[in-house]
Amino acid sequence: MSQDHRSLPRSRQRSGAGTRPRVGMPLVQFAPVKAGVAACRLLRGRGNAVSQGWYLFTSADQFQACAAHDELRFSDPLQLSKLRVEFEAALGAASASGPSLEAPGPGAKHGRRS
Amino acid sequence: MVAAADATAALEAIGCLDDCSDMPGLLVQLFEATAALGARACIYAVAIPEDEQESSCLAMFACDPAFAQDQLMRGPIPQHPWFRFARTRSLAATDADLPAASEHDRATVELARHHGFASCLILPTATQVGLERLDVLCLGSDQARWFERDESRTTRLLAPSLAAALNAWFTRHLRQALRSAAQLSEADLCLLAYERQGLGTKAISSRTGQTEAAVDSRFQRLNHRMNCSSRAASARRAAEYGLLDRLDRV
Repeated sequence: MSQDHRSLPRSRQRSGAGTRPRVGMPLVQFAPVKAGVAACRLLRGRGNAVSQGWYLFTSADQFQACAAHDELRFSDPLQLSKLRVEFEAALGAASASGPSLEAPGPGAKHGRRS
Repeated sequence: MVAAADATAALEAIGCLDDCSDMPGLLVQLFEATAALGARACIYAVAIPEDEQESSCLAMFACDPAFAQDQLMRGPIPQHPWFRFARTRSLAATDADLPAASEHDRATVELARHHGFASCLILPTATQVGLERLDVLCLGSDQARWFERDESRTTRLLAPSLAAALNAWFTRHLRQALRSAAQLSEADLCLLAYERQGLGTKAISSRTGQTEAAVDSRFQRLNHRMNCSSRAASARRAAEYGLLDRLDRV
């Protein structure tokens, strides 16, 4: 699974895609989607072990709430600054590609997208 | 307030999972399916053993990203009490069926309760006999014991379809990812299938028409590409990633 983050379509690859994270050091990457920005938290373990957690930011406010959390920046303020820039770029790309950043939920439209 | 499941919308959203070409797209579709099922939140996680001690894990969180982030920082999803519980079950269960928890487990579940998992439906997905990969779907509701009520019947009936669709999607994804990463040809997969069947070098040599030295040499190169220490470990890894499904009886 260590190559998963490299297998995204070019349109969804982010800066840093292809960066191999160090063991035990989480790497957060973003990908613009119609509903907002998908985030992937990648963590390499020993040997072939890799953990990926995917979640979705539907707004900049949600990202700010998470960014306020100490561990997102991994004790490294530069990392948080870099993540902010990457998130904003992904959010911009998501806004440009879709009509709105509608949050999925009970009121959201269901079904196949054209 | 709990939204009722919309069976038609849920089936359509589940059907669309198959069209997703990557993980971000799948995540968005999982949000849609979750909402159509009348659930407030959803986690789908896949754990694949890589060796005796370590596992790889893929988890999708169709819920509050702050919760996802908190949960991921608490530890690997396979150590979550719901996931550990699912490993002991073959049928769907609810969080009410969980055995008495440790302090750490209680804190982990309490975190989820504040983020759309006041009650939870836990669905383990069966994998092939002899393999240890485990897929688990957890659907959450804002209301306690929601999944034990009659009103949630449609959700309970359709949730296994969602779990099966996700299991199929991840199986295809994992196969492709490992095959591409380790550059495995059909001939390589046949070799690994023979190893999985317990054939030794001599037997493989006679079946493939290659010399024994050539078979050993091919396994050495395969192990290097698979990043495994032995041919048995390579074959096991290929099997766990679903690469040997079609080749069990070569």
